[in-house]
Amino acid sequence: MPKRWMMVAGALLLLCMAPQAVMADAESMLTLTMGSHTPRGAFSGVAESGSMAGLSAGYRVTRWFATGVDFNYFGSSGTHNGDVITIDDPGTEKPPTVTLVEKWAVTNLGLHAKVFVLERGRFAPYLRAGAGTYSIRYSQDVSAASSGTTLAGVEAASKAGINVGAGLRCRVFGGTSLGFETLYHQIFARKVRVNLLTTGVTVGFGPTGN
Amino acid sequence: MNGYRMTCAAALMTAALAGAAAVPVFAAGSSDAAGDILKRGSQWMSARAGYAKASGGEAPSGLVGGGFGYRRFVLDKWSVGGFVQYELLGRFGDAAEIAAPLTLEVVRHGRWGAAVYPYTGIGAGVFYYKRYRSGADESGFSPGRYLVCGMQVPVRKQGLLGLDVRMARVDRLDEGPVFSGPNGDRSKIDDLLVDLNCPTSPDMPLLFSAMESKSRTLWSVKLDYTITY
Repeated sequence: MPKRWMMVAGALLLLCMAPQAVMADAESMLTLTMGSHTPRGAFSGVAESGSMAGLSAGYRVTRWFATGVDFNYFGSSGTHNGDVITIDDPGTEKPPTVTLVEKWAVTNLGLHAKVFVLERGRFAPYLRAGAGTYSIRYSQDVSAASSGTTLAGVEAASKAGINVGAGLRCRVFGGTSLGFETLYHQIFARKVRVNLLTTGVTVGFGPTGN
Repeated sequence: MNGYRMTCAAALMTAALAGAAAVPVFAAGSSDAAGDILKRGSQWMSARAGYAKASGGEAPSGLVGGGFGYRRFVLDKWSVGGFVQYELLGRFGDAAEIAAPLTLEVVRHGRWGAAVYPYTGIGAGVFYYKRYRSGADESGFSPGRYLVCGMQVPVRKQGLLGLDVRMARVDRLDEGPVFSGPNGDRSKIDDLLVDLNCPTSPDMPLLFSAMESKSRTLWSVKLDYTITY
């Protein structure tokens, strides 16, 4: 058996052996998420991997189900960022040679639902799904140019999207918890698939950790 | 004209709220009941009407909007609601622009003193837009998100009157024969996602002097009447 599967099996065994938690429902929690994102699908051809940050407010309706709202930011540079090219600038007579600055930023505001499975002791694994609006923003600028240029601009659009994933939360003390979460985002663009795979460390603050 | 209209609308709403604030005498006997309206399980039905406008230097003057919605308190002081609204954002001559937001929102409610209920929250949804009699009519749906805040006072048993202010962020529509906006022939996000997937070359899509915002804000300030049960 490969080493990684042995580690997964060991982790699951530990979860199963841990004492059953006595977790109450009707609890609320704020969660901060910091991590990275990796573009997938056609988006991987135009954007590099980058960082992410998120804030969510959740409420545990029952012992096994929670829901909430979240706001996330995903930022990265474009695949052409830092490239040096000579361009035909309609605003200047002499073609300048420029160093491109290319950035992508995606913000997400949405609702999510979590289903807790195999909860044992301090550990609460969960599956998660959500939906919301995604705002995609692309910008071009120059960091250096051989002569004056009018190259600079932004383009933005709002799209609908969904996300699914899983995470693990470990109660540290009181209502504070640490964990990690990975999500796969599907943004519904018109011509291509825009996907993001995000992985982050979560810090939760709440009465007992939901 | 626009400023005059805004001033009139603000004065009207201030007067209505001032009148409403004087009424709690009616509601004084039911202050305990009023506190219960923020409890988990409480339900609110709202109808509202007032001012609506799109941001932008050359946007049409703001006009009117209305709508209705439903809230349910999933926690004490926290509600989840859905709203449908219809807003005539403005006219240029015969040409008109409307928006119809269909939205979900999560709102935190509070209570100041005996009978003032402020609230603030966030929401998102689908915004139907339409331009007509403009020479190049268009319509469609666009996702949007918004911030909302407001304040309500009881005016009768199970009845609240208030002011609802919301600021929605949506995509800016392309320019048309009447309405201003970004050039519709430019490379948009959907085009850039395809065309930028290429080796760097002078032929790759480049944006020149295109710093203008591609999104806009839809404002609305409305009088709100809510029935609680």
